[in-house]
Amino acid sequence: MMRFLTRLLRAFAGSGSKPKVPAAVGENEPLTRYLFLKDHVHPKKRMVLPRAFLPDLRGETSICRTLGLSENEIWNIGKRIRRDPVLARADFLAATVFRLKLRVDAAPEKDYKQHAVIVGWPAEKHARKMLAVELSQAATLQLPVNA
Amino acid sequence: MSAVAIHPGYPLFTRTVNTGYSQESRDLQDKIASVFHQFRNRAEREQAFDDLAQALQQGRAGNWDHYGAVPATDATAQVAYRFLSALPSTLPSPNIGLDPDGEVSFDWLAGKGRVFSVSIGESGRLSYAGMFGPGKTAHGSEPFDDAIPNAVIACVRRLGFQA
Repeated sequence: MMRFLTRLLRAFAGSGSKPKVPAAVGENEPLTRYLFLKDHVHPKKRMVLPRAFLPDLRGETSICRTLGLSENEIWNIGKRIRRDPVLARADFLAATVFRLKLRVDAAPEKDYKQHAVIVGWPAEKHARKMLAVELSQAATLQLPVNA
Repeated sequence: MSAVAIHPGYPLFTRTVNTGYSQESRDLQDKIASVFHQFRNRAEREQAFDDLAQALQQGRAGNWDHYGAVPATDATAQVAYRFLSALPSTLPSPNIGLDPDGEVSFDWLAGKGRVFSVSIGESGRLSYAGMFGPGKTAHGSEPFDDAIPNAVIACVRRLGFQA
């Protein structure tokens, strides 16, 4: 269902010219979390580990807004933002984040306009873990074609 | 205590089906299955200790995830080893990695939507969260005093891993 919605949104939004990233993150926007660490992915079970979604010390989980981008463009952003190879992606919809009472704030950077962060994490570690479990289980693991 | 005596010349893995019909044959089948199960569990647990060592090695430096992650301290390493050592051998071995706050997380993945995760750091406080199917979740915090809390054991069992 999520894959279908993602493709549908891309089909409508992605038409040749470079898409403009809207300031506010819409409920049905497709998002992705690039996964660079081996212990964030279980390729055999095709699962994302919950720890992949835990916020950093500033209380932010870095993600990419992928509305209107082709598969190639999404992978290329991942390759560009880090020296380490992108091992996988965790794709999900903004609606999942909102359902969990978290927020998605646009955080565009100079060469990375699609950058955003998940914020609004609770203070208790177990509550953060619960949300990370929910996000990881709602996400769809995408592996690079040559993986 | 029972022991299995296997003739060195016996090709162990050539038969996958027990064609015996007697009760003795069935008993023997169960005993052999239990021996292999124990070997497998022990090998998996040893692998888990290796994975823990590897994760701690990776987390020695600060910013190991390039998002400003905290390094895992020696005190965290000690608590994590004690946690893994205390896990009952009847539970499957977890997947091991580091959290951005420098704690070690132990995760059991039974399948999509069936996951349980426990984190522990130098405070010795366990934070856990799990999903056991659609709409079935649990999370909380427990002290770790070298015995695995019942809540944690119950959650791993709730995932319904097959022996």
